[in-house]
Amino acid sequence: MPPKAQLTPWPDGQEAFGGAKLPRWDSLGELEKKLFIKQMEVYAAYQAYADHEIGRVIQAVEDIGQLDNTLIIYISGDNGASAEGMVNGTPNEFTTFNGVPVPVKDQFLWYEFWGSERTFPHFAAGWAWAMGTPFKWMKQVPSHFGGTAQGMAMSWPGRINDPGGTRRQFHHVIDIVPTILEAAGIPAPDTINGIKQLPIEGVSMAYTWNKANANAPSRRTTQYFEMLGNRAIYHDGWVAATTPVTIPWELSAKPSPDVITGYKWELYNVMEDPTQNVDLAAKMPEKLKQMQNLFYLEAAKYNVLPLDNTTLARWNAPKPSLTAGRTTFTYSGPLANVPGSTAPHILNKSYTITAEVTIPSGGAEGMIVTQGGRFGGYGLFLSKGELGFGRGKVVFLYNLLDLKRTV
Amino acid sequence: MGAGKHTIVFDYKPAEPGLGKGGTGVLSVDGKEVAKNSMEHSTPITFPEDETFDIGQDTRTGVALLEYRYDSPFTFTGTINKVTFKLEPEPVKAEEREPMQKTVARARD
Repeated sequence: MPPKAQLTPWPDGQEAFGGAKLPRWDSLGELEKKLFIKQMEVYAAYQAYADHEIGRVIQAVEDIGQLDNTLIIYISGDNGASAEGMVNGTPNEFTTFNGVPVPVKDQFLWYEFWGSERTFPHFAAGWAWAMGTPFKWMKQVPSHFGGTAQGMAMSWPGRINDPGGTRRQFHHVIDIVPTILEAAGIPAPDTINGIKQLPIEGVSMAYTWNKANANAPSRRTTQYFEMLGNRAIYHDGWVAATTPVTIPWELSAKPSPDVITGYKWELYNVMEDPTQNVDLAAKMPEKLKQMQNLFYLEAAKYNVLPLDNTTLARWNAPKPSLTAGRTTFTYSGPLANVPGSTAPHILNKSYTITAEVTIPSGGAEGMIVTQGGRFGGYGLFLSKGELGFGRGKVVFLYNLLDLKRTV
Repeated sequence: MGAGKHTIVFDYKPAEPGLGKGGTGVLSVDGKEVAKNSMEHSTPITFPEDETFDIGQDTRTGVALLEYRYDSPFTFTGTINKVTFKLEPEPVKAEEREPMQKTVARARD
């Protein structure tokens, strides 16, 4: 970050954060601290592992003598840090996807093997905010840099004449493809297999490889951001952004506001204030209006409209599915790997499973029908038994998110 | 179960309409009840999407942990002639579903 960058405040329930609040480290109890430390240790170990393995790929390129001739673009993530562990983290992220928080005390059941195949863990949301600093917010929040800004490094020893240099031009992930096309010296295809292609909307970043262009103005001047109604526009060093109306680590029961009129907007001069710390919206209403208008122009141009923050209409819109609306499913024998979206959807309803089987002499064991696995699901099977006892018993086992199994 | 053809039925009814409510399941073989149990809660939104629906085997990880533990694929050693699912309508209100769905939609990316 440039020296003038300021650390943005912690979310203590301020209106500027839509009331978002996360516990400060000093307010945590001993048990919470112990658990949260473990969560971050495992995350850090994953980072070290990923780093090591990427190092192997780069070493392999060097070993074949092609490093000087290879453009490597490394981006540190696909969004901000994730708060989907909710406030206390979870040993199994499918709890989040089902809106089920796991109490701290209960998470200690998994403490000893956190990060092993017995867990699908996620750290506490406070870590996500901490890792987004000095920016505000995190994953799920497209309006602020904590949700979108990524560290990126490029290497091409044979071409880039400023090794170790830093670049601060504003660019977007859609600028990667044009950069690669320019590096390879090939134009974007107009048609592929006879299908006319949409124009490439990004701009190449190759100009930044030249040391003489270290401080050149960015060739990307404008970019919109939008997800489920939360939105922002970047233009020539300014950002106008809506304040998030949903909190990434909370299961919100609040109704969505009107997507056009129901959002508060913020305004930042990100050339002077790269972390979006000082909101200028109240001071510069005319500038904000200009930027808002630009958002809608860009949104119209790039098929972002109509904005939709309800999700209900999206959910109810019928999707192409062989099984949509079907209430009876008949299978004539073994099969495997049916995705959940086309399996019988047994959640939140009455259902009957009928299995017609033939048992050989000497009995049988094995799975009759199942969906899911270790982190949630069900199975109807004949038990395998232990040490020759209890084989062939009919069992229906329901696994509630690896939290409780019922037979 | 002795050698030969058998019909296994699992019949489940939620205790009340709504997302993630508990319910009672009855397991029977050839029309005779062999087990009955209730649970306080059920899965409201989704089973793990990196797992699948399988018949006659269990791909990837198994649902059991300690009790009835098995190793995948735990292939069925008898013959499966037919498996039928019959589903009743889902008695969940759209208003109840929306906040849950929103959480999932935001997290999916």
